[in-house]
Amino acid sequence: MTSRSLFASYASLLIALIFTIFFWFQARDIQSEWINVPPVPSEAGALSFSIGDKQMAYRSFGLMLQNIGNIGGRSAALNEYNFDMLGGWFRLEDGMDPRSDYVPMLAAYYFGGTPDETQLDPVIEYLATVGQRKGKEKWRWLAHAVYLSRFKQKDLDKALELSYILAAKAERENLPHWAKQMPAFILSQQGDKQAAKDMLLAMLKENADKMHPNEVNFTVDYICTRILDKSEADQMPLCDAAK
Amino acid sequence: MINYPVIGYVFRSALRDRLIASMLCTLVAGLSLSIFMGSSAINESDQFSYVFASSALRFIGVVGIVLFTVFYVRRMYDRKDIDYMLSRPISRLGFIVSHALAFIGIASIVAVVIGGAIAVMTMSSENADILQWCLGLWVEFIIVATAAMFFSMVLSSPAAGTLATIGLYVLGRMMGNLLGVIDSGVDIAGFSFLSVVMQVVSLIVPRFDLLVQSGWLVYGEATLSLLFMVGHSTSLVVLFTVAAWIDLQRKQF
Repeated sequence: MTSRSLFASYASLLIALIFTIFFWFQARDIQSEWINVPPVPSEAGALSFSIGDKQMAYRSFGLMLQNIGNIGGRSAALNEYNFDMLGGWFRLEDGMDPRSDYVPMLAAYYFGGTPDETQLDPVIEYLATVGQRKGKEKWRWLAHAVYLSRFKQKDLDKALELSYILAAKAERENLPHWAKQMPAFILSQQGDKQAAKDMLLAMLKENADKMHPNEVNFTVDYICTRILDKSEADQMPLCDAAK
Repeated sequence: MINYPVIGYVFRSALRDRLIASMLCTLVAGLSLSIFMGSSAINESDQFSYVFASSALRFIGVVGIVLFTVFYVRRMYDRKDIDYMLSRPISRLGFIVSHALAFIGIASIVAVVIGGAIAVMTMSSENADILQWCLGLWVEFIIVATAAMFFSMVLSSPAAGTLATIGLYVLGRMMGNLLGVIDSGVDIAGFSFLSVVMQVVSLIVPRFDLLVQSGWLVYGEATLSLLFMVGHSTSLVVLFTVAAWIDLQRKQF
């Protein structure tokens, strides 16, 4: 190789390097940014991401939902998320695997933790849908929907509506008594003490022999200390017996 | 009809190409990555690992089989190995059948290695229907192997052969979905004939979406009948082998 061609090759290398560095400056400040929850694909579109494997699509998108706010080394606060879009993702995931508890858990314990309670409607709607389904322990998601409505949204009407559904399911599937008593708890909080008391008394009258003694004690205590005030409780023989 | 030296030659090529060794390396990497990704899930992390590992290894297995088969066949043509082999006392049918059996054998070894790894991984799961999953994986791999043999014989470029086989594989995985779209009545104005075309294409496309489903490793309850699995795979293996045989008969050496 002549010194002239060697010089030309080094000069070309240097020019290429200068151009590369120039374009590095152009791209340096362009970084990944938080574009919020992406639009929801159709189920057919979602399946094409995993070339037809439904379970793979469910798990991949599930993991994406879990990590969606962490991008480029930054974390987005939950109240910045578009929860309506999240609701769409929940429905998509539910369609691909209605048996898994992964997305319900993500919705209840992660997205349910948003400080902005006005965002919770899609989460509650999703948990209520999953919770009404038959399946091992699915009812707990319905109970969680009641919890979110009652304690986070403080929407007692919605909580009461869901609690009646939970109580009916509890009756059908022989679930724990606290699930059956849920409407009474909410009625009591709404101020409808008479209805709450009647409901719990009817439960004691009909089921006391089937209930665990702890549950009976709890129910009596709830009537005597949470629903009735002291003077009302003094006049009730049930509360005397409990003392 | 079966020529054992030819089968042995293909197996030696697989060893020479380090197919098994490279498959083992990617298997370890795929399993490790799947377990790592699965463990980052907030719950059901075992199920995540099963699904990620089975899907990743299934695809790695398919790619390995396709690459080996296509490049082996094209190299056989380019180096004139095929001229030498056919100059020996072997019929063209014997040549094709022996090669098909060799590729099926290699696909079976890959299926056993991957199936074994997934079986060990899902051992603690009560629900995993591992036997049917492995059977489906094996059937899928042997169909892919014979399809790769056919495409690499017909198409003169290794890249084209690889892309055609992978394309068929993707189409096979998506076929249930595509037929569902057609049956749901989705119609593009002026292109309604595409539905008919797709229905016709689906006649000879393997239903890979039915043969293996990673959901079987999570919930069990594999519903696919053994009769369908055996019948579907046998008919497709014979179809691709006969098509490759016809193509070989038409070639001049």
